[in-house]
Amino acid sequence: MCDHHDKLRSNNEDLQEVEKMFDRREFLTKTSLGLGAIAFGSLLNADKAWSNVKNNKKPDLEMFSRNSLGLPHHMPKAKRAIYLFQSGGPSQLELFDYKPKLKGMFGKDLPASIRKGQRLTGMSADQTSFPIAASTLEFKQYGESRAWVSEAMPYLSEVVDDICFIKSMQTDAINHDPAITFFQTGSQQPGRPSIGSWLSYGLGSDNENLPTFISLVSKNGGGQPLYSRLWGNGFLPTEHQGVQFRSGKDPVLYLSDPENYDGHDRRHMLDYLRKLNNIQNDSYGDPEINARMSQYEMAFRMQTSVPEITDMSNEPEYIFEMYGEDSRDSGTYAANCLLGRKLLEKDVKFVQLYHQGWDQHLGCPGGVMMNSRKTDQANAALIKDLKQRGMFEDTLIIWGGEFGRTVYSQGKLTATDYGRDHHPKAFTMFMAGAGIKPGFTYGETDDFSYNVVKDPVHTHDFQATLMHLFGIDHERLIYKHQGRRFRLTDVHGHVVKDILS
Amino acid sequence: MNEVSDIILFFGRFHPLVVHLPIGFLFFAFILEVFARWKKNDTVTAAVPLALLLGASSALVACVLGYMLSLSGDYEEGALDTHFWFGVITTVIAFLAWLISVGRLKIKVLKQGKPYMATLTLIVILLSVTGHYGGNLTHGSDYLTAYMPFGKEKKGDLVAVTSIEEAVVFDHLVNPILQNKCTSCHNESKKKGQLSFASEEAILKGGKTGVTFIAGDASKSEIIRRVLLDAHDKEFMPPEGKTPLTKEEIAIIEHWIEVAQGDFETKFGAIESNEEIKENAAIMLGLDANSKASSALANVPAPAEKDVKALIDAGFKVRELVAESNLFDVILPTGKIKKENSEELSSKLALLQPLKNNIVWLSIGGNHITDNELKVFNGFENLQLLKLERNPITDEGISSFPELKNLTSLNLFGTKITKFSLTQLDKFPKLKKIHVWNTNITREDVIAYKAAQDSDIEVNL
Repeated sequence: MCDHHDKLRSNNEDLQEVEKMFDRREFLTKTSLGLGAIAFGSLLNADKAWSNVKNNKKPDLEMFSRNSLGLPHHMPKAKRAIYLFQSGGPSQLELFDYKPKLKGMFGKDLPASIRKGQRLTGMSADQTSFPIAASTLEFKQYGESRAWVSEAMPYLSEVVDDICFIKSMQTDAINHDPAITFFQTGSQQPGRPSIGSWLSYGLGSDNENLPTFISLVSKNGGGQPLYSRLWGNGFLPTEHQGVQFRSGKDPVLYLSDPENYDGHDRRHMLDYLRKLNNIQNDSYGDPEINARMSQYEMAFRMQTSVPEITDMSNEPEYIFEMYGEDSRDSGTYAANCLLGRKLLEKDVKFVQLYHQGWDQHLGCPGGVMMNSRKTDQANAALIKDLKQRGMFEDTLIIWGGEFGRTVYSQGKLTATDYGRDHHPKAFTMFMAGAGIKPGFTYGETDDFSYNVVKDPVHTHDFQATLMHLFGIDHERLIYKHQGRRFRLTDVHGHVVKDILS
Repeated sequence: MNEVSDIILFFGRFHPLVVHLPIGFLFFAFILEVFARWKKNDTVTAAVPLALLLGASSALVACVLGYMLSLSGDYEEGALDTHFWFGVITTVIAFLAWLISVGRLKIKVLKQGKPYMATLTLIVILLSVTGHYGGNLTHGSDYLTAYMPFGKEKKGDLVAVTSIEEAVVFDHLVNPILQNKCTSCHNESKKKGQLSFASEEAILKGGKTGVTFIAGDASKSEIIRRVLLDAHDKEFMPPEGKTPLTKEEIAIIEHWIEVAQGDFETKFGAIESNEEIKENAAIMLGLDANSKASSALANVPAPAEKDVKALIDAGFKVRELVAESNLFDVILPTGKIKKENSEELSSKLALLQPLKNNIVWLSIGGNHITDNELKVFNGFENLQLLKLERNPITDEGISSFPELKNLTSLNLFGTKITKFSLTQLDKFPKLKKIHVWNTNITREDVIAYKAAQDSDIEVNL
């Protein structure tokens, strides 16, 4: 203990305190840090640092119910959302974007004036010709809104008056992984938070027994792979990560107790672990420690809540009939739609479904029919079911893939069969429910469903609109990471006000 | 004014740089002297003459450069003169002080006084005054005081407006943009390019390149042309390093020139504006951007913290609908109340009463709520969305239900009501939707009700 300036001090402890007050080093440290603290304080809270005390102070509700991020920015329409992601890129030409003029152009080359030298994938770029393939599927108009739907989706045609079709979707990416990553995170490169994570971060949870963001993937899905980073939290705190519910014995991995363990001292164990984590947190202050603690607690609560929610035995027979036979088979798309509804009923904020298999490079008509059979009835049932439960008005339903498909045939074109390559410049999505104009079609494509001719909606616009429906200004939900401010829509995106009710 | 050669202006622009040298040197000389006298320590006095000499010489250079800069004509003459003469005097006194310090100059008359210390003090005062005037020239005369935390008077006498229609386009929308982004260089004392935005007359007068704007034609107006140039263009305004105008701000100025014909009195309500302009204007005026949505929101005081805490402790989820609106979405999670402890229900629901004006959305479905408990909703003036589904509620509950004048949606699916309840909906004058699936109400009942009542309430079955 021979600190160099201790020598100059008297032995009396009280005097030492007094001496310390006049100490040069102390003075410099305190004044410099003090000024720094004032400056820092005003950086954090520029308006309030010097503001008059008489400013009427709002009662402090922060702890209980005020969102620390100042959200929502405006009155929300949606309390929760279910995003039915159709992975692979469903063909708009076989489903909703009816192009009768193509019938007369069978096999003709796609005019260069339409393609305008647009970049193609490596799969069809070296084709010598781009023969136009009109859809072999029958289209009809339905409902009061007279929306066109093909024979592939007979169930959906019953609910077109509840839906808003966006026929002018556009994206930047042309291959699956960048495109799906772009849709989910606003960036083609992996690493940013998914939409559900942003919502969880921004708005918090309405049900502490279940994660705010849950993802469900149809089982036995072939086709393009899906990675868990699609529902990842990116740089947001870990508790905002999407939690995947799987089919079968263990809906959530590592949640159930190991065999031969009765779990009776789990609570005790967690309490002790919390103490240890708190010690660690006190010394390091790493926010991930807090995230971990809250995740342990969440997992503990989920040991009860998950078996409860995945138990389908309470669902009446007619509900299974409504969603289709598949819905009895856990892990199918239909069963996931039904589970999705149950999660929404429990106020899970964002349920993300994925269905793989929409990548029809070959056998497009057959492939679309097959995937529609797996999904169509459940899509329609979900809309009807939410409606009858009075949840349609505050639940947002989104259906769509990562891009659309080309009007020209990839590979051999025959009278009954053709393939279609990826097409990012025009495709169809639909939205329904909270705040969305029902029975409405927005945007138009040209006669080839190749270019958007009216009201384009870019992926970022879609994301901005989604955030808007939750009461969030997409330009103001920002997270600073590695010295840069990030938002879901990066520096893009406009709310598509025309589709809002 | 005669044309000034570029080389003169080039050197002139070093004035703001060089000018800080004499300030530093001369202050330092003063500090050294004071320090020496206070501590009775002469060792540092040896440095004073050097500091004074350096200070005086650099002051001389600064004066010359300052004169060169003044030839640009970008500055208001009155203020410029003051700064100029104070600068010259400071330089002269600095030389005098140096002479005294090295003993070359002895003023006999003042010998009894302390001429040395007096000159040094005078230098400090002069430096401050000169510097202050110089600062005013560069940044505008209110630069120093604009953010004073005390004694600040609200600048100008702009009347706050409560709607965008009342706003005077120039005063409330355009001028704040100019003040914010342009007047630091284009003001009465510093007129870059001989342009000032300080007053109506000055704006109309224009600058070196001509008039500021052509009423009715934004695209031909200089002010618009300059802000729309490529950001690297020499003529782009504001110059590099300053914050450019946003496209919303440009749109507002364009709108003023085009539609308001550049008039200084026209009110926003008197001209036609599209939705986007209206929205931008609302944001600038601090009237909420989502005026449509927010105007429908009630203005209510915040609930007491303890009441909110009590609700949360009782198992409710309480979430504010719009930040700092004091309006809440409250949820009692389904199944929170089990059948066997339904006696807790009344006391729990009573906790909602203190927040009756604050609750806009309320979900309490599936919690064994019976007819008796519904009375708690008396006086829930702002309640818009009420979810009561899957509770054993009957027609009796609905008929004794208190009036809810803002209710728009009522969810009663899975309750025990019958078609009688449909006749009881008059107490909800704004009701648009009611959900009655899985009740005793049949499709025929709904059709009959629709036929008889001529109501536009959507009944979801």
